[in-house]
Amino acid sequence: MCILKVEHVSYSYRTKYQTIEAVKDVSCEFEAGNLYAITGESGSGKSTLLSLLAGLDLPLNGRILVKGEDMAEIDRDKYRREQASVVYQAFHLFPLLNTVENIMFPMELKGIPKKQAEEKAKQLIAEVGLAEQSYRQFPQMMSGGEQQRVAIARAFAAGGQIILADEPTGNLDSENEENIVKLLRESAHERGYAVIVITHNPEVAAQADVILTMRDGRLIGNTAQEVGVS
Amino acid sequence: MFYVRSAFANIWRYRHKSVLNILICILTVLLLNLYLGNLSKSREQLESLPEKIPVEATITNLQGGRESGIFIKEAYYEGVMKAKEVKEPRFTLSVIGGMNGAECSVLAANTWKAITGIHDRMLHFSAGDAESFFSSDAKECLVRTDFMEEHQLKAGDKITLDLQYFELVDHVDIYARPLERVDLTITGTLEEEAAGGSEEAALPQVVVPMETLRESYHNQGVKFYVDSGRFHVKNPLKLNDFKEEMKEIGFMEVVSQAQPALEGHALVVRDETFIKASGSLEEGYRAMKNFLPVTCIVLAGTGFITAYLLTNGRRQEYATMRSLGVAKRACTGIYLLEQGVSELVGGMLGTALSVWIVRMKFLWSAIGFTAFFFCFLAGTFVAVIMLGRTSVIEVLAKAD
Repeated sequence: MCILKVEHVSYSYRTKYQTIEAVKDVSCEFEAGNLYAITGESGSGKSTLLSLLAGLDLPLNGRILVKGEDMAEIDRDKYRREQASVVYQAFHLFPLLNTVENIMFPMELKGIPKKQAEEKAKQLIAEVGLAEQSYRQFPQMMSGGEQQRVAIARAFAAGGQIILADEPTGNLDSENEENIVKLLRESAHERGYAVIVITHNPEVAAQADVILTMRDGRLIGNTAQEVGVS
Repeated sequence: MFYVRSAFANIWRYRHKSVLNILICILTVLLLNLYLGNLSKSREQLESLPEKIPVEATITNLQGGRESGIFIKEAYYEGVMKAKEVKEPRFTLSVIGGMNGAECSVLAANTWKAITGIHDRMLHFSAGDAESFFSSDAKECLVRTDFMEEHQLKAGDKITLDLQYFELVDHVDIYARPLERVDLTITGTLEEEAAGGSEEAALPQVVVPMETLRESYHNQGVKFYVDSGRFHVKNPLKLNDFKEEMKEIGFMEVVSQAQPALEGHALVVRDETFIKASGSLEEGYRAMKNFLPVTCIVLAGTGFITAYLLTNGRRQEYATMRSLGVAKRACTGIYLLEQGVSELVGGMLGTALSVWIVRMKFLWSAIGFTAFFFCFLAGTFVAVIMLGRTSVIEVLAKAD
């Protein structure tokens, strides 16, 4: 099922000295149950495209459809609360919240009662392979791999169907990298998420069902599976 | 509710910053209340100055050389008695009273304070009191104790006086003319304070209320006048209003080169000391008051800088919340509530300390707290709005 559709999207932004066309006329589709990797060199527009898919901004041209609805027409905050979650290279956990509280946050945001949210959070902690000892730990007490698992658990907690991951293994060693990629694959294939990962790492990209390659803001190709990319 | 809980949870989580914010607020309120305290003290000093330095006005002849034994017309007397800017008017009128072939001094006054050389403890009334006596027009009188003894009189007795008034002719000549025979009931005595001495000699033998004597003049169709008049300016801070009113009554300024005359047309106002004292006080008060808008701006600026510095390090947290779907307005609300609660607590503690340490009056403390809270919060609001302008993409990408 096509969950996200990008139609001729372009985006540019101004810096102090120039205007940068980060994304140029990109069109593609993303389906639930697949792991997508977007690769390309630095400055190719990958992160910008991901931010647009996360609804953090709107394209200047073109449109992004979320289950057929134009993103410009929907409440994008609600979209991020209920449908899409973002996982970052730097994890971006709340430093003063412990593991359980970090994972509870998106659930409490949606109005889920505290007790229920706490139970669910503990369940997700187990699902991402963390031990009970991690419940009351704060992010700075955990390794990179553990923090990323917490970030992924938080993404699951939102209960949506889309996970957007921006270089999720960028700060991890190879062992943790492998574990995280495995987790993301499982979330796509077993939980039915549309998982879109930005990565420089060809080994990570190789794990994806579809690889999209960007250069100078344009989508120049895909490999592994032809899934309506133009 | 989640956002409110988050805000309060954050106050605890960032307790060091919260405590710092509260301390800054306490200090700010203390300083503000020191300023307001000085302002209120200046104002109090200014307002109490008329009591401490009363401004007296005296009716004189045009030349300014005579303050008593002059002829002050009825229009002036009535004008002053009704004047809005006047307090404690004191008028006297001396006439001659004839009794049993001898003459006695009779003085009419509108208050015992008008009579030179007496205190209220020298007056003794068989009925009523000084105020009711001098404000009435009854045919009553007070009699000096030695006069009473001489004529074997007592309180309640009636005396018959053949009154004579003084007529001014050609501005300077005075003639005694018969006025009226009146029967007066003795309602009290005037007791001399010291044995012998010039003060005792100056005391009138008979004292009557001014309106009683005024009635006699009217009954006989004689032009009424008083022979001395002085009073206080009600509000010396409004001297111009007072002088305007006196002008309307018809008083003139002293003309030292005027021809000698006994008509009481001029008014001498002894306001130099008051003007000097009030001038410097008023200047200081005005300068401090003019500083008030600047104070408000400084308050707002302090609120802005404090909030900006305390929240600036939380841009990443803000961006993460936004990326998780917390609406912009809700994010701003959370930070504003956090800052607002700390400022409220700090403001209240600072106000309590001000009342205790600086001995600030409660009303001024309340004004200070209100001014602090709204100005400080306004600055905080701007800082939080600026935080809200954070580019989420930029912050999260930068961290990556």
